[in-house]
Amino acid sequence: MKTDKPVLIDFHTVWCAPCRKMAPVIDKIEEDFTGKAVVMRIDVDKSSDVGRAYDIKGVPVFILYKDGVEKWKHNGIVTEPELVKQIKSQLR
Amino acid sequence: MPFNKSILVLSACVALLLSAGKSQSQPSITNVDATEFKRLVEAGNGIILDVRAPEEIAEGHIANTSTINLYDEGFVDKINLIPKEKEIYVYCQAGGRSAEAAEILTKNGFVKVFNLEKGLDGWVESGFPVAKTEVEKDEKSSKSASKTSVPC
Repeated sequence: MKTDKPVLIDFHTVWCAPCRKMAPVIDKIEEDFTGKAVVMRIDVDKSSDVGRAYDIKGVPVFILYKDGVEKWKHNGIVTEPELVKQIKSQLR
Repeated sequence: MPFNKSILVLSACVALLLSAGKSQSQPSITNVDATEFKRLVEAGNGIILDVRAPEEIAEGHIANTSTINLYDEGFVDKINLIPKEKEIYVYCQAGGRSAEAAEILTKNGFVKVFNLEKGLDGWVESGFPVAKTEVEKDEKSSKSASKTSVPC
């Protein structure tokens, strides 16, 4: 994906309760950072090849990229302030 | 003989160390009643896993549960997406399928698995609450998944 904005990828599945818990947080992040950051959601059940490519061994997993480089990765539930902090640190 | 004695003591120490290490990493399945299961899930240290079919889950389930049908052909692939260091609290309707699932979980590297004896039937008999929500459908997009009413 070619963009100069930070890209947050949410790797999840529909059957995972922690993923469902995170979903509204990710929605809010997407809304709050509209035009400043890109939020992507990948269902690793549907896209197992993608999951393997990103070495996803558990869900949920959040990875933040900037200029194609992985800047931050978190496995499991994460707070909204932490996500905001990480994205803001990558804004120019 | 002092030399023989030293070897004996050393062997005993090595055996003790080995057994201690083994007991820590040995996977375990603990069968628990509804009261203990409730205490565990409320402590919030692990993942609740309902292994029933979607139609059964639609009739009622324990709140905040992850759901993977034991008879889903991708069952093993899916459980392998759950962090293995987490405690797993597994249940089904009456305790049979969850016992089978617990075996599969330990064979796949999960170390602490708790199985709800008598399943959801036992949970309901104990008077504990059941959430009733629409079952997650695999067809929908993840974005819409976030808008469903599954309690978290």
